[in-house]
Amino acid sequence: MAFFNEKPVVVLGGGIAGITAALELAHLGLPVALVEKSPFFGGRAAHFACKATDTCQKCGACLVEQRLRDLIQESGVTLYPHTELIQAQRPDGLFHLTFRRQPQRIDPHRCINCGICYDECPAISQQAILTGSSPAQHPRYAINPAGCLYFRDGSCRICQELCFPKAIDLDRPETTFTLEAPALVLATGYQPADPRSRPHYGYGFLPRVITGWELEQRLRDGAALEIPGNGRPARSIAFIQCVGSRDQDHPYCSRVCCAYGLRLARLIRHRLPECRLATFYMDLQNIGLDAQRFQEEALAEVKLIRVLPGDVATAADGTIKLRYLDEVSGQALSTAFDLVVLAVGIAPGPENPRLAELLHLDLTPEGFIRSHDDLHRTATGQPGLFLAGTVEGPRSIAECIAQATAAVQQVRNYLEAAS
Amino acid sequence: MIIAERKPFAEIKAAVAPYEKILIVGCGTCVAVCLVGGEKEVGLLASQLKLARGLEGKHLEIGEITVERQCDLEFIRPLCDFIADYDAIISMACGAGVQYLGQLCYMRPIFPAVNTAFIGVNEEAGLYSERCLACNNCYLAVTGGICPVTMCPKGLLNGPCGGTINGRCEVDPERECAWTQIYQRLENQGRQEQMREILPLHPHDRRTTSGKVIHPAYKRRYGGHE
Amino acid sequence: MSIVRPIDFIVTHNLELRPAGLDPRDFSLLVAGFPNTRVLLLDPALPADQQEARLKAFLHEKARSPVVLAAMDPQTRGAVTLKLLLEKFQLNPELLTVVDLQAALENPDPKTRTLKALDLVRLAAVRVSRAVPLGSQEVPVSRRVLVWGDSYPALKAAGDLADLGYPVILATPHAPLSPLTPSAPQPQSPPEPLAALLQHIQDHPLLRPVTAAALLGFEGVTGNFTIRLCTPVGPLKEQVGAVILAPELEIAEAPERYGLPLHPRILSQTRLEQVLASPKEAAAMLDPQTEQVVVALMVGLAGASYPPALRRALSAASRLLNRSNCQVYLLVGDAKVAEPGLEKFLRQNQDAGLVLCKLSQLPEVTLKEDRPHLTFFDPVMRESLELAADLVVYEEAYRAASGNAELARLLRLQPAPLGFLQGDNVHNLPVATCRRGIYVVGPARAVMDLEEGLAEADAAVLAVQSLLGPGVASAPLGRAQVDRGRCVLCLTCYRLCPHGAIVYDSRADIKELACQGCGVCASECPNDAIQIRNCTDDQIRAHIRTLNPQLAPRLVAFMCRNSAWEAYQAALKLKHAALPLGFTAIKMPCAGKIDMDYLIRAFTHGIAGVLVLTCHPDNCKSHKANDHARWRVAQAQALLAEAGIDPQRLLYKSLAANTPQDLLDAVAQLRAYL
Repeated sequence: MAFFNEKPVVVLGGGIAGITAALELAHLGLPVALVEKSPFFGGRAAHFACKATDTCQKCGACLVEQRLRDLIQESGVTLYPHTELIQAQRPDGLFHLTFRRQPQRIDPHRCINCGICYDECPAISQQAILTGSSPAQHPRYAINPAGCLYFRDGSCRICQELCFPKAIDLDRPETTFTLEAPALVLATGYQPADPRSRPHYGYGFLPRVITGWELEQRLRDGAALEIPGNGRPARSIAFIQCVGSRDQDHPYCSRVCCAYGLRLARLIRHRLPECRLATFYMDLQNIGLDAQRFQEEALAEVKLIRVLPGDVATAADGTIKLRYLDEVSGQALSTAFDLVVLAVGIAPGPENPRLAELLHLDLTPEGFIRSHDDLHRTATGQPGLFLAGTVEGPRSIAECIAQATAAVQQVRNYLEAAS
Repeated sequence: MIIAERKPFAEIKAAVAPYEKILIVGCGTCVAVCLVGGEKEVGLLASQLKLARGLEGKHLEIGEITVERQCDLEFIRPLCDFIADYDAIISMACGAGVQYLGQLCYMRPIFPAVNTAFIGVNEEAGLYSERCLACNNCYLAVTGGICPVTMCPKGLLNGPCGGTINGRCEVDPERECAWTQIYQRLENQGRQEQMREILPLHPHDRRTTSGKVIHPAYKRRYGGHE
Repeated sequence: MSIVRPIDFIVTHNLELRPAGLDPRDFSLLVAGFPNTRVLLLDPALPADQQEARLKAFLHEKARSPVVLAAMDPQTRGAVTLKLLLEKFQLNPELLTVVDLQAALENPDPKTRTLKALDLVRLAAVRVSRAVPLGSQEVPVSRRVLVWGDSYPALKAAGDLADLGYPVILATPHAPLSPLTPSAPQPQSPPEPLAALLQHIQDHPLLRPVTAAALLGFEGVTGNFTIRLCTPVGPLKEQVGAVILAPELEIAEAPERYGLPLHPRILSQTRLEQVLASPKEAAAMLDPQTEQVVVALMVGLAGASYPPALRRALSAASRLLNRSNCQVYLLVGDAKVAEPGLEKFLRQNQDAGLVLCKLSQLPEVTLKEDRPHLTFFDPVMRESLELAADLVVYEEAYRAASGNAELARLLRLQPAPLGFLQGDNVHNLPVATCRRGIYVVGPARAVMDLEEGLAEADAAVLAVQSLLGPGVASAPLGRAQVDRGRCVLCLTCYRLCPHGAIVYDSRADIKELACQGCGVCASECPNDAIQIRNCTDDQIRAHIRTLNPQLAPRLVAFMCRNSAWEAYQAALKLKHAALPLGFTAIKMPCAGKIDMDYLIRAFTHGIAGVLVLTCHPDNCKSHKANDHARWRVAQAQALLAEAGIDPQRLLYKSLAANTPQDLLDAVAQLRAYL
């Protein structure tokens, strides 16, 4: 197989789909460039918690961690963190891709991950310094020009001054560069649906209303399930499913929320056996390979209520009261919970319109990148350009891995045919 | 093969309590295969004894060796060279091996570490069940391959007793009645007529203690008679 | 001291070591005091070319000594050095071990840190000095592939492999080939892109379709399986290198699930589709003369239900709604809309007049005047409704192929839920099984739509190509070895191997292409006849013997490298973590390798407490190796109790790689107990 003079296959997006594709391509002996917009590889799933109770709940979060570690060790993949695609052309069959790259202003050779820059940054609430979620990521910190005061008005250099190993250089300039790639895999992922799309749940102004995404991060950080602002462990937690799915703005099922919501609930039950749990849902999707069994086990641990709450109010003691129509009695009931978790769905990635334009792809009405073929959702209609993962639509970690692997097989077939 | 079970530790410990230098001899055939007397088990027993003795504050020196099997002199003779260094021997072999080794090294007390349970089969890793009592008068030809001596608690030779209930044994309701199984087996093979043959009293004298067998081809070598 | 051969130490002088009380220079002088040792002090921040020059001067060209790299966070901050050692200097990875000096800094008292660091490097040296380099071997493998099943994913995989030059046997118990589109109405015609596939299969010179086949026997290991098929034209015995399993789903009418009587107006989904496909039958059942024909479709009310069933019901509903006189009701339990486009399809049907009733129980069905009447509690109207229907249609059951249990038994696959073939373990994803070379795809894995099955077929084809290549596969040499002198052919290893990697002739024989190094065989072997390199009994016993009793409390943790070891690395980086001074982590390739002997022996060497830390149940990369470890711990606790040692000094815990807090909790639990 001629490798187009060692030009790398480019994978855009460093989440589970992108990492899987990059690793599989490298195992084939192909040179690979993995490009990620944020400073850290791993994608969203690298922030997910292990949901094991007494046994593994098969959520797939550990697979992300594992592949991330493999990626760092894999010498056949060139990593481009904090790098964005700004131009794409295809004059001769090869993709000519231009990228804007933020340098690693925290030098990985010098950084000792002490965290002083993060602790002392005055603009930390504007996300001036970002942190990774996995020990495999080094450095654990990255300067974010979008929030950093130095980049706004040159006023602050505290991190650079305080850095004991002299690892920070805020003046390192961003660069642009071009890669020529014989094939391209688009795996830029999704964003969690905006919980404000259901304003009546009070997200953003009620601190006790959080998203599933936030809960995952808290659990992953080992945080006890504390009530925000109170420090006491929660005694009752409600999950509300279908936030940002199956509604006017998102007329699709996000496919993963019933699974993650109930798995999180069962994890919480395992850690806090006294905690009262309830899940409000519309239709329970199949979870795991033996869905009936999972549902029976979940029923024993979580109260399943087949209606979405109408509205939310705070009680005098700070708890959140959810009002909903009881199916059996027909009465409106109101139950109080210490914490309310909104199981947000999968919304299209924020860059999709820009990427679609750059790469001459279409968007579906929902905003995902449209695949060309319902039977082969990795296909874009353009030879050599493939989709993988949630960029194309909602899917689970397992499905992303399968699809990314399939995309690699198609890259291989394409390169064999073209050479 | 011969199936054995490790004796309770307390019993082994009490037996060797007076001794300070003990050699544990393992056996690499039957007891290794049923996971109680091979090299690994020798090591575990040695560690247990060290721990127990340590707790009592007493001194203990342990040697560990595993031979191919203890029922052949060739394999146990080399042990004679250094048995003298020890005060006592623990043998993990079956009763036959313990005795042979004891006979060879008669100057040192020998203690068994296992109870020899039965001749049996290995159903799955770690799961063994009895099949044969070594009665020296095998009936399997006429009982469809199922042993009435071992599998029937009463050792009946001519059909089930009146106590069989729904194919189960009255002595041990967990077990199926051996004679019911024998009948069914013979029936499957079209040989149920075999049941009509009356078997005589079991010749217990064929199974006297300390039996001896000389292979016919070797009779002249050992001057044995029928 | 127990360092049995010369070792090269590389100590990096990371910035934070001296302020923390561990001066790298002093430390390396102390290390140089070990016998058989040379030490290089290296700045890890130097550029690669300068590091290379220093390493070149230090390392012996010819003598391949093991190397211990002691550094802060060596995997990330020592990455340049590691890369040079492994790639530039071609150091065999088995001869390289890293020590994270962060573990030495855990204890708050600076005076103990040097002592702890010395302990860590000494233990690492003891272990690696006994390591042997592992080579690799080329194993000839058969390029032939068995594809079992006649689903579209099976056909696609077979066709693709044959196109790539691999001879394929496509075997199925069906005759003729009858692939399904799970969500399409019956009778089925192949979807457009797959229409030519069936012909391609028949014509391809490298592809041998065998219909009405039964698998009688399956022997051998990865790369060289021997299959025996029974076919209408006689028995077939062949060597294959890999197997792809994709037997088609079975769609069964199963009216008993819905408790329905037999009646001409109570139809299965398939029967309705047949009616709709035939204008004559459609006219009869759905009389166009009648003003209103009421059709009730029931989905998801009895047992397992899947999105393809809902899609079929909705397709039929659309067609019914197009007939001007049909009133269509859809009675659902949970609407399984978790497939692309289904939510929209449901809404479209509702907009076209479909009445959706979400029930929590099966409706009661009675027959009145030759019409089925459905009685159910309507949650919207909040009352019991009786619906007089002209047609009642019930969802069919989607099930795994009925021959799967026997197939799994023959192929020695781990059990899977609901009659499918891939063990429910995330490490199998996407298409692997516990046996390398056997892949499970599409309808053999779960009820899924055709698109997902086809993607999995691609993944399996990729995997087969990677495994079989041009007919030679690469495997480690010397990783798992049976000592034929000690093996008594008890068959324990053969039975327990989760990967089916062991065969036997007069002795057990571990096939290294199939072996995944879990160590269950070695731990369970009654005669200690198996060694896994480089985690041999010799190495671990030396490690245990060399623990420094001065560092108290002396706690040892045997850690599976897939979960606990990673959690330990993460725990070292947590700011609030404080592992006790005497805590030592011993890295194992898998929980399977945690031998009972190590556990008991640790106590004979005066260790106060032992932790066994493994992956969670159902999350072991080697199926049940963690369960084996747990059973061994229980047995070891019994032996300890017999010997008079408190069995609670031995603690078993499962955890994940990303739960460092669980590890700290386990250590705290054991420590508190002591």
